[in-house]
Amino acid sequence: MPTDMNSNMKNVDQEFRFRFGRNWKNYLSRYSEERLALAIESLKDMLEIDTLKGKDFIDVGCGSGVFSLAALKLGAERVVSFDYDRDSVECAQFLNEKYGPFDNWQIEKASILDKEWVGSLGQYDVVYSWGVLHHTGDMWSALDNVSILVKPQGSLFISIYNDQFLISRAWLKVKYLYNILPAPLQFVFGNLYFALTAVRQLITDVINLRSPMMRYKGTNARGMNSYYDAIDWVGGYPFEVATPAEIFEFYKIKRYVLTRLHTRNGRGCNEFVFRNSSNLDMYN
Amino acid sequence: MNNERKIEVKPVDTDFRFRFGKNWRNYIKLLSEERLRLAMDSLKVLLDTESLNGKLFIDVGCGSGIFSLAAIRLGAKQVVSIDYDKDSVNCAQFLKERYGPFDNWTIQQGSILDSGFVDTLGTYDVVYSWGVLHHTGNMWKALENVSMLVKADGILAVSIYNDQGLLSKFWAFVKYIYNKSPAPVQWLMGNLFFVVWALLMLLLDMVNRRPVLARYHGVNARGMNAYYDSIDWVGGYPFEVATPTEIFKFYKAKDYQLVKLETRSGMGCNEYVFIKHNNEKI
Repeated sequence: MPTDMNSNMKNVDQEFRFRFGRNWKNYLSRYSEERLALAIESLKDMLEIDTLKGKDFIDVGCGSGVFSLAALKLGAERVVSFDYDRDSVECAQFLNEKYGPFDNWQIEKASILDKEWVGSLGQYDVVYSWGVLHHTGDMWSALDNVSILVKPQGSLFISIYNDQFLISRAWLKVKYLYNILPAPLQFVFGNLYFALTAVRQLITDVINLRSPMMRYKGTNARGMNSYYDAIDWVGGYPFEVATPAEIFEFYKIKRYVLTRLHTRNGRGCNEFVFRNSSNLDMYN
Repeated sequence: MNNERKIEVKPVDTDFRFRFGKNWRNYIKLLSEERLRLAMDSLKVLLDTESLNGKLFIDVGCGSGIFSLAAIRLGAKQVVSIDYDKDSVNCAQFLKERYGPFDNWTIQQGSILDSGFVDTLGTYDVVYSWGVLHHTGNMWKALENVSMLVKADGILAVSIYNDQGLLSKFWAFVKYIYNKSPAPVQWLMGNLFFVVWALLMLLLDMVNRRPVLARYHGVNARGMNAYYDSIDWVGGYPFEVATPTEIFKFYKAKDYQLVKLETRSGMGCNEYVFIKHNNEKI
């Protein structure tokens, strides 16, 4: 990961990493109002708020930019979105033009690992980084750096891949393989994986007496799409994982109080909302 | 706390539940100073303290009683141990006599589901209930009732089986069958499970290049024994499970703050330590 002065903007695509943004672009082309509505609901639910009026919001690794837009729709006074991936930045810019333009939405291309740059961003009422920091190549530094951005009593909403031990290590190999393949093979690989996922989910749905079509009605609870989520999963590299306990301890030491927790059984992300209580002497 | 309430064993599910205490009775024959020391160390780490000096400690579902004894050894001012299972109560009493007697250790038979009984117990600095409440037959009621025992700013330490979705349903079925089976079949099931489990662990240890016999050197980090733990697992019924999300949410609504979390990826218990906040909501 380049962390020197001007490196934010250069050489990104030559790097050996999955191009998350390209996947997001495909997703956006099928973007719907419904998805935005679900993203808004997800923010309201996890942050336990009805509005972001008067709040500063930063979206670290904004991806499609949908959640940044959701924050604006919730009345955030100011939204800053950044991503390391150029395609993702363009996605967010596209949304800004389509739904705005908003003069309180700032979109940047940068890395959360660039601590000096992060230090220049100021502090926010809500720091949001969903499914991002485990893809930076240095998750623990990234987890450390996001905490610089949180105002005292501000919220930090992150999601991080669940550590499944041996299974996670096997996935790491699969993702690595995907990323060294030429594009046509990646396409085959990705679609093959999606097909396998679809079959597995079909079986699970049938066993649990759920309608197997529900998950293809465009969106899941976060307003995301099964197909693009599957491609994101199989290709997503760099890839790190953490147990809920590790994340909890990491922020506990920084005097963050857990306010929401959503854990996964198998693979996928654990979600955490912490409040920065470092200004209160609450652990006596 | 000092009540002399007569023990009423309700006939609810005495006939159809795993006799945990009988398993513990076999286990305490193996109790050594080393195990006791491990239990003390695990309490110290869990509660983030070097001593329990001056503290009131209650062990809900004391099982073998070893953690109650560990609390006494850590200097607790008063320890109350309760269990629904008569054999477990006898185990704890046996330990009390063998290592004591201690006049600050009260052992009672009673159910955490019996709100009337729980009301008589008072409140404590440390409420400890390890791998118990999911075996009561009404876990959420039990989780509710233990919270009545916690003093303001007191600590609640619980461990609850991880919800593994379909897999948990499969285990509930196995445990049900075990408890419906005659004793010889139970013996067979228990030992079969132990063998399969041991093979699996052997494989895992080899993959991870760990010494394969370490887990059989009598004790694990909590001072427990691999064989009796696995019999406990396969037979343990009633059996409920919860996700960390559910437990966290449940106690957050009661103004508890999570201060320690240990989660499992597969089967086994998730561990939680909460602090109860009295008035100030943070």
